[in-house]
Amino acid sequence: MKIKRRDFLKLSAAGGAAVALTKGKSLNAFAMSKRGAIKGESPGEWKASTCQGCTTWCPVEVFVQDGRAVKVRGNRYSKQNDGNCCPRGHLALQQVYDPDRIKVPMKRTNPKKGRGVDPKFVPISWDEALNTIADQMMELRNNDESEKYALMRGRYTYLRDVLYEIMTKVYGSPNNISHSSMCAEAEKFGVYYTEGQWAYRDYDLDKTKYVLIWGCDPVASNRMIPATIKRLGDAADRGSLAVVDPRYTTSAAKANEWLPVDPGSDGAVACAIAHVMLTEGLWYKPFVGDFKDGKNRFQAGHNVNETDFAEKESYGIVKWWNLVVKDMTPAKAAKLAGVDADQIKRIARGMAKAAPNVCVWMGPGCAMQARGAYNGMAVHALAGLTGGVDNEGGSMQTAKIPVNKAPKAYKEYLDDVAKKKTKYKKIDQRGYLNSPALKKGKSGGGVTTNNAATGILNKDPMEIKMIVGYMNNFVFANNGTEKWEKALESVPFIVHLTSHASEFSMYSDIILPCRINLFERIGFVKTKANGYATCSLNLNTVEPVFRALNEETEFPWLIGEKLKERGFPNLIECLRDVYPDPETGKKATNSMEFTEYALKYYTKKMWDGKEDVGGDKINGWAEMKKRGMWNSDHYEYRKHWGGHFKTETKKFEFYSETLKKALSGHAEKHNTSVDKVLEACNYTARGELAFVPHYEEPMRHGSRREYPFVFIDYKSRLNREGRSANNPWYYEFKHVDPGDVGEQDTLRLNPGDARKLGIRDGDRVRITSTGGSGYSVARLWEGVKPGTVSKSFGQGHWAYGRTAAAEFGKKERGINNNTIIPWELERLSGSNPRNGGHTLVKIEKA
Amino acid sequence: MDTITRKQKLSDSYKLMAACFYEPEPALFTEEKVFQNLSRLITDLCPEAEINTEDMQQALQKDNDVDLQVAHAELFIGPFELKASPYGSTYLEQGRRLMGDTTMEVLKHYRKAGLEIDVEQPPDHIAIELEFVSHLYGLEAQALQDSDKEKASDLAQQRQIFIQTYVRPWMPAFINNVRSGTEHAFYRSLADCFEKFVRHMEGLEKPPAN
Repeated sequence: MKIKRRDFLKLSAAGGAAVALTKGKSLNAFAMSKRGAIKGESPGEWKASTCQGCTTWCPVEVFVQDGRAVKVRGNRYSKQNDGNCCPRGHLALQQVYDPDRIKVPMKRTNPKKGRGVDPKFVPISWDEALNTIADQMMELRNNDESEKYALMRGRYTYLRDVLYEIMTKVYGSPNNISHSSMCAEAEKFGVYYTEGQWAYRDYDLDKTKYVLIWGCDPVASNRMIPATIKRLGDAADRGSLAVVDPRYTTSAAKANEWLPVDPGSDGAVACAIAHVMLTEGLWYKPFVGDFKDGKNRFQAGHNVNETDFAEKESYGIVKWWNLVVKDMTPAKAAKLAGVDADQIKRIARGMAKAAPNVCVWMGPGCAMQARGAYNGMAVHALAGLTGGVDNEGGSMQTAKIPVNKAPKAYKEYLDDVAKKKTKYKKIDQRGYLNSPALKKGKSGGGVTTNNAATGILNKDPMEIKMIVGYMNNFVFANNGTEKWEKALESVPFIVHLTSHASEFSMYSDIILPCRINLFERIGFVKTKANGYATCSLNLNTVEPVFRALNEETEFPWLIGEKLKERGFPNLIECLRDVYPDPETGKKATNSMEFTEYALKYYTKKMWDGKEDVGGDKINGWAEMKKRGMWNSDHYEYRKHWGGHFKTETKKFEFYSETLKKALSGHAEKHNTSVDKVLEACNYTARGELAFVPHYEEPMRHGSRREYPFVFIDYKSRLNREGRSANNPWYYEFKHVDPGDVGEQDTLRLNPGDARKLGIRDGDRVRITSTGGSGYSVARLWEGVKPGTVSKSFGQGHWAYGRTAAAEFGKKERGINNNTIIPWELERLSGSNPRNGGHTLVKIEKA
Repeated sequence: MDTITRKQKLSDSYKLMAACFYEPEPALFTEEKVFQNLSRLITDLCPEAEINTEDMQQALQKDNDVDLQVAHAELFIGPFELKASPYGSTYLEQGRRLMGDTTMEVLKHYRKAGLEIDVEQPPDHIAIELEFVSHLYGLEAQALQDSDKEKASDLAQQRQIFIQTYVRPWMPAFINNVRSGTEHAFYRSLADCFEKFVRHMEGLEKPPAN
């Protein structure tokens, strides 16, 4: 806050007259109100927006009084959450009014970068900040080095197109790097290479009779939390609930079966469930088909002749049986996964009895492992066996959300430099032999976020000289944090667009304050739950206390203006021209107008009444903003049956011709074999096994002798992604995660294991892996499988706010799980194996 | 010193104390003789704090601008943590948050006085609260000059309630945070000066009715 009126510093008493004071001339922080004296307070109103505290992306409403947000609830019109939100929405109030938010643009004054090095930030004007950034960008362009600019994306809205796509490409860089593979790409891999859908699923809890939850706790995290909180109990009453997870979750506590698998061994259990269903003739025949003569030939250990079986909606069941399932008996899987064989049988029979109304609810826990891609396929294959795919009471894809795509016309603003350089390889090395990232079947089709650190350090495929990161904290949120610390240290100029300074900001040269979603940020999201697809608007229900950017639109606009001043007008002209107001055709004249026009452009089909897109009928933009959301019609079941799955065979694939094509294509690109690709990607499968769901021995870093426990990472129900770590309520209420304790960073150990180590409840313990070590507080709890320890992600910040870090820049509060988890990748999908299964640790009393 | 002059000087001293919590601009402060003026006022009103204003002036001249800016940012802006949060609600309410109920109460006082906030800051920033007190003293001086005793009395009461309810309770913790949050000579001296100033001013204020 600067003194803006020099008169403020002048003495009134000096002239012997008090008059000047009363006319407001010497005021600085105040102005005389034009309305005169005002008493009382305004009644307040509910305003619509979207919570992005997790990836449910709930339509919500905020109660606003006198310009201040005071309460949050679900959007009354939502058919997903029925007007309710989970604790994250309420917790967000401490986030928007966090005193440690970034309040002004700042620049570092200490050129040295590194962990524990104070950047010594000082405030600067918006103009100085934007000029500095534009100068750096122009220098790169003038030196023919625009490819050395990288955009790193964290939490986005779908206005991301502008900053992530258009700005990066028009400027002339291939390096727009998203955070997607830190989340659940391996899970999507499992679904894509069986069902042909690269997306999360929706689940029909209202009609299900059996819910198999695998590697997540959907009442606490995952993608339809309020809907699940409301419905899971009823679903369990109606049918059965089984949970496969090495930790005892809230869902597990309510389940009929809890199957605590050893981390990473999920593929064995899934294949064994399939084994039981097939050998006992329990598969859902209207989906999978049957033996031509009706006689079940699936006998353990025996091959079956493919021609004896006639499939319906699926492809390759017999191939899968012959390659994998025939030998994966419950007894064998029980041994591999450390579970009870009878439980495997009970779950298989229970699911079969409820078929097809079965939800196979796969979470990231089983798939986000170093060899997790095939686990994801194996678990999702069970949805196929039970016919619960795209079906009533099962898993669903999504109804169409009629938003517009990025205007193609932006490509006309790419000059020759941009056209050439946007085709360069990306810094995350996607598509390299050992980094296939096979999103939607394409070699290098997806991002390998964690590998960007490798690319930066090795200057391969190029050196990176400038990074703009937005709403991200890659140096904290990726496993193997030390590698990221070194990578960021090596980059000469970094800009961080964020609401809260974080570890990423420690390496930044300029930080710009951004708006917080739910309350201030403008954008829109697409989401689905409970059978409905939704477009939900992020709206500025309150104005930011301190000036802050809608970074996805305002930053490109403001930088575009600055680049034009420096002789590069393409960006600002592009934005102005391709996003006119869809109602009037008027071109934007400033960054906020541009933001509104862009939002209108993307969402217009849902409110302009020109086309029947189904779902809610909304009369105009004003009504759309007031409601804040649009619901689709209910999901249409079995739309993909009858040969409409988006796989190579158009069927649900137990033998994935789709993966075969993708892997073969990748191998051909590198002039090698699929076996060599798998070897480079740390998988053990060879030959035909590469194309079917199967068990892979879990990769572990370290020896069991030295590091006897498997470390499991999980997400707290209070994690607003990674952004609630500075909220005091986060610590006060941490005990809402089963087995956790408030006000501490808890490591949960099985009491039997703890006894052997001489560790008691509440002892301070040191956790050490091959990647790093840190301190936590032991909690002895039976809900942890012996031989494993578990800890919630979120704590361990060393540079965040006052609440989150023990001592700024130097000492963590707790320990970051990603420091314990060594750097690793699941390479077929490009994912972070974030759930920790590859991490062996030792625990010592400190 | 007559009452009107005294009130004017109080108004001025609150104003200049407020200025000390803004982003430091040594050149501007020198041109406007902020510390000479503050020293003179303090000598008249609160002689025990005089030495500290001299120290502040010296520190400002001695140190480079960047160090001063860094020290100010670390204490009152961030970006990582506010070592000395300048916002009342973070002390007066649980949960360490901005824009609390007390912030809105403070805003009501401003509105009742016909003022609106003209900076992008929560209304209970220390500099804004001090400016408000300065403003009320100024109005009181004018009312006295106009021989409007009733108005002067109302303003005095309004000021007392404001200070006792929304300013005084968090001053000790705030001043401690400033002192413990920096090694910079300017802000160490400011903490000492402000502490004596606050203590002295408290002696002038009567407890509010009820």
